[in-house]
Amino acid sequence: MTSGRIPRPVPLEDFELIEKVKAGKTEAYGELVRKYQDRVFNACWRICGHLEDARDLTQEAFLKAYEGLAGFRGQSGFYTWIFRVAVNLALSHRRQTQRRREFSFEQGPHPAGSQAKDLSRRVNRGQDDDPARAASETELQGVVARALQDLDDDQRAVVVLRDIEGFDYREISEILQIPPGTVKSRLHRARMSLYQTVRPAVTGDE
Amino acid sequence: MSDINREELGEWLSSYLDGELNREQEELIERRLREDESARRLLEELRRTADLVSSLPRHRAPTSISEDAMLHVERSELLGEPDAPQERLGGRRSPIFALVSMAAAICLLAIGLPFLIGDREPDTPLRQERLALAPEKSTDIEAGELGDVKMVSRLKDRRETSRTRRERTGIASTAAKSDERSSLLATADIGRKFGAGLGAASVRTHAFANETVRLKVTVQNEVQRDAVTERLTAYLAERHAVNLSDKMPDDAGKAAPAGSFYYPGDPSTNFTETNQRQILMRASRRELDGMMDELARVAPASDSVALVAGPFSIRGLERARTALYGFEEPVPAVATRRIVGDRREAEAIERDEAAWASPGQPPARKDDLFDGLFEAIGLDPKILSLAPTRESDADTADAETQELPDLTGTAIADAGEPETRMAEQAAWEDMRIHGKEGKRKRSAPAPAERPSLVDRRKKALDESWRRRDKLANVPESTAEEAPTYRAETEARDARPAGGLVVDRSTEPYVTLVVQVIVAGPDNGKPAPAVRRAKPTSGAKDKKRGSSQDER
Repeated sequence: MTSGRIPRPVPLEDFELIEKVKAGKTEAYGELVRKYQDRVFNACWRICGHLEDARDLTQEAFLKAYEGLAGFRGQSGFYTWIFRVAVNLALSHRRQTQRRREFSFEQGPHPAGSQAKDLSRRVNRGQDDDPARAASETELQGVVARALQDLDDDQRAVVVLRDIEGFDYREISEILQIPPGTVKSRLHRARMSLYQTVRPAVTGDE
Repeated sequence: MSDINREELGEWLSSYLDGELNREQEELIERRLREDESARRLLEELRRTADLVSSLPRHRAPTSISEDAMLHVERSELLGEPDAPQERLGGRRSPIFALVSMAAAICLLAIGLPFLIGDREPDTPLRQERLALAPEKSTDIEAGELGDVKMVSRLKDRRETSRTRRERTGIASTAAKSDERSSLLATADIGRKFGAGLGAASVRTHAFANETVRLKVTVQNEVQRDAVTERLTAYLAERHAVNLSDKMPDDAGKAAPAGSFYYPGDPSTNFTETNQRQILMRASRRELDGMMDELARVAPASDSVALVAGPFSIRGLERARTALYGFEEPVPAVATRRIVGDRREAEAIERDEAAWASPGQPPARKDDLFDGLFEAIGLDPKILSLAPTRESDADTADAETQELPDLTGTAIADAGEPETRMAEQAAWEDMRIHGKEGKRKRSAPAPAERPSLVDRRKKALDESWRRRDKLANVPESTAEEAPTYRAETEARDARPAGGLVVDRSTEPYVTLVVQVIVAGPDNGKPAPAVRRAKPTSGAKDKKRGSSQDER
């Protein structure tokens, strides 16, 4: 297990590999998958909040990317392209699972009751708690990871892409298909929100 | 800089932290930081947060991700699926590609013909996929029965390795979800999806590109496109075909529709170009005939219609019509039931049905695509050679369109094809048509007088259709019978008490995608023409007969 920001990929190598895949050498796609699977997997994990789902999402992203490779014109790097596919999948997955959980709890005998909503929130949070993740994180990291999961989906995606994957604003704008100004404001709000949540653990104030 | 609010300041500081400001903006923000204690504190908070997030631990991705992804990719490549990127590149096919396609088509025919004559199902990619889809026990087939044993066993090995690794990584709960079966089903054609119990709702996400047969109608503009599409869907609706887009909200996930259906495609799933419309449909021969008649009325020219089936492209309305019959296959055993009024007739129908679908019969041969293709290009399938004649060499010079190769040459039967297989096949067809007595009734003709395989199969098919018509009590030519059919149709809907329910699930249908596309720089290119074989002494009559059929 590692931590910290990761080195940037070399796009030229990717284009060569893609050309090989298009020429029928499918083993070159294996190289692309192996090259980016860790990064895509971690991004999916931090966005969807669950390791097992992240595994499926990563695999699905690579399959979708392969199927769409013929339409890939290289205007953006494969690196950003595969992230766009993966992040979209992860966000859709997250929204779907949230809808299902909220629906199942809030459609009970007291649909408008605050108790049901509170219970739903607790269960959602409980399901996001991943034993594998818990074992690998320090207490502070656990606080940060949970705070990350409490962010809005859009804000979380921006933070993950910037602070975990190290994309610049232009690339994030490309991946999420939003203007760079929106990236800037979402990132700031997300960081401020995160800081408010983790401040007691950081400063020792309760 | 001094008059901006805290929110804006925070955004500036975030950008400063991330190195996203230009030189001038950096100087401004640094001046503010020197002067403003709260700005410095805010920057520190932002920096701390970013550091905390970036210090979160990372996991290595499970190795099964790349293995499973590559398994899928490899499978796409081996089975020649349409999602393989190299197959969709370029759009327009070069003459060299056309020649290679022709060679591949010849090889396909050379491989497929022995199966046509014998009693085995051709070893098509569909069959290989079906084998891969089948439960584990059914893959324990003797090596001789599989077309490419190496490929299948390799897939099995990879699947086993993948499963073992998944178990070792402890992510067993997702193994089932990401199992090859689900990915195979995702790319399966609609018939197999229904067969796997996915129900009518599966057409929502069904990629039409997975269908083997496509009827491509090229039109000049969007008005024509919409008119043709609407006319075809209206026709299908008139024929009481089930519209799956109407059915799905209530019957999502339930049984597959019996008999005819159609589903106008979803642009986000099924259209690669915005200037086209697509309809997925299943139709019986009668409905297909009617649909082709409709097309003849509304399509601009006969040449604007082409049937695309695997490597083949058959241009022209009538050729496409004929070739379509080669793709008929029985609908899986789902209740297709009708009410009939007369008990004696119903019992007779039941007996016939039982004879028709008697257990122990040889494998169904309805998926032989070669018959229709041979008929469409006016060839006797007994004749096959990889060496073109001199006449055909001369003709290739003026060929601007993609052409199928000249397949004239030596008769397969003369080249050592076991006569016994043909005899067995003929006997089976007789049995199928006439029952067990048929075998005895048949007097073995001398080899020179024996009708060709196509003639025999055509006869068998015609016979079967007469039989179907009788069962359905649908008049074809007798005007007096028409009221009976109408009455029965009405009775079917009303379901009167005392009527007898008859299972007619073995009626053959063709599943295809109708693609109505506006001519454009890429897709407006006429579909490649199929050049008819040069007549040899044996094929002249066949050709003449086929020409008369065309409009």
